[in-house]
Amino acid sequence: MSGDLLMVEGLSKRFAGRGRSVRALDDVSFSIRKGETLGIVGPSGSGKSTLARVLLRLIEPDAGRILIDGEDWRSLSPKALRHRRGDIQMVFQDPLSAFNPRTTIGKAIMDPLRIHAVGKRHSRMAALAELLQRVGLSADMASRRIHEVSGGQRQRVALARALASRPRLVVLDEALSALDVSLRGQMLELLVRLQRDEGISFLFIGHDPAVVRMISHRVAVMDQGRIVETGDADAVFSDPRSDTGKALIAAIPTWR
Amino acid sequence: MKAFVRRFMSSPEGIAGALVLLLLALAAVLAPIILPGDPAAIVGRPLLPPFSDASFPLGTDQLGRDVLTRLVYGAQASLTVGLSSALVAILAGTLVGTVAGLAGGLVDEALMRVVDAFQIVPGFLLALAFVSVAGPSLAVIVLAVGLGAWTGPARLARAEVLSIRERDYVASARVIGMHPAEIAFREVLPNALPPVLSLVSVIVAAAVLIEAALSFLGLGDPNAVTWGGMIAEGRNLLRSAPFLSIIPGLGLVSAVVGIYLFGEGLVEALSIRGRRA
Repeated sequence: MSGDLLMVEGLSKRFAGRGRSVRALDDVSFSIRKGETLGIVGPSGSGKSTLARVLLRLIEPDAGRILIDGEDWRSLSPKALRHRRGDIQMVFQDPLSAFNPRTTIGKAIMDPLRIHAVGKRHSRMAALAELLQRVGLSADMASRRIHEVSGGQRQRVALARALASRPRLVVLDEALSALDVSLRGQMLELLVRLQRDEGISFLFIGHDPAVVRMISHRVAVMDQGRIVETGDADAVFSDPRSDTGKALIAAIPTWR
Repeated sequence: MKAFVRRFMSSPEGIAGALVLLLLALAAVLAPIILPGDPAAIVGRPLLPPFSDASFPLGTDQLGRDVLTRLVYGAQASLTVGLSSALVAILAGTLVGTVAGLAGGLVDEALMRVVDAFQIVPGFLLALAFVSVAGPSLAVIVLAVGLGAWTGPARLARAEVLSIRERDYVASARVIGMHPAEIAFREVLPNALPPVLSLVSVIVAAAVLIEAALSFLGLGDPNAVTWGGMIAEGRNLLRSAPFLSIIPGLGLVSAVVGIYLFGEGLVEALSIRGRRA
């Protein structure tokens, strides 16, 4: 389909170790349209994080195709890949471990600006301030280190860094799981607003169905490396077809 | 950096060590100014005991050379050799360990087997052999001692790199498209360094001792005044003039103890940094 930003076909990845092997990804196929959010839910160990890392080419899959705007992402040379990486960015679950403890927040956000030559050198300070402002942070945050700011601010910083290279797809791997409820709500609003204003696509990985439902247009349910169900978020959550989907919905606490 | 200094200052061992080292370093650096005499010059009657003549506070040796002047110049040689060989060992070890840890596979295997080969030979024996072949001079001794001590830093650096390269901030650097060389030098190396630096004191202390032992065996730099050499020269007169060996021996002990104490403070200051919340 012409509106597809990301198309994934038949991704498989097996991890072998000590005599036994685990199928982390088993023939996974899906697509994400421009400006769309695809939610991925599934129990722990269902291959969600492996999927994120394979898309970012942090892990090489055993088989399968990844097409970004029709271009074969897996056939890029290491050098070409580095230049194109700005298109797909990622927000990790734990911002504390996703930032070099020795560098300042400002430098960490400037890195992608420098690497992908966004703007001229003198205009990057302004770009940095603008990025911080876009995620709701003040510019004086730039001189601090990641462990010197609060938990909610950390994930905003991570988002600002991910947005710096003007990506078309941002993969959020359990990015809100470590936040408390009110901060999570604020981040969700921020993500929705960014998508509305700039047409960024999101791949939103979460284990909490309630949060995934709030932000996703469509949802894929994963279990044991396979996508067992996909569909519109509302359809999947109100009437799950797969056993895994049913179990996940049943696990949402309800008060009556 | 400020926090690092504050933590170091909160460790009594560290402060004690730093004071001892400061004293020794001052003596070594200021030697030509406070004691303008030539340490090799014959300046008085031989074998004057300490505290017997005001112009030779620590006495004279069997040739009539001033013991205090020789002691201070000996500090110069000992500290120079100790610090330089530690620098050589840390630089070489960190480089090899980082390359091995980042490259992995065959490169890692090959480099670590070289490390094994060096490690099974005792450091002193290695230094002895190297100096016997290359000839005694301070530069050769520095290299020889460094050659025996670089394996520790190499192993430690590799272990650190192996753990750091799996961290999310390295993955994150790859995601933004950072060049592998920049990842190695900006993301991995600075974070792998602190534990390796905590080895400095152990290496410096060992180097000072090895240099003294080499000099004692007559393999020291013949043109340099060293503590080991002074102890060796005093050996024949150990019964009649024991101070000739005891005084440089005390210098050696205080230097080694000072370095160890300083290292304790360093480890304390560094390890707290590693334990970030």
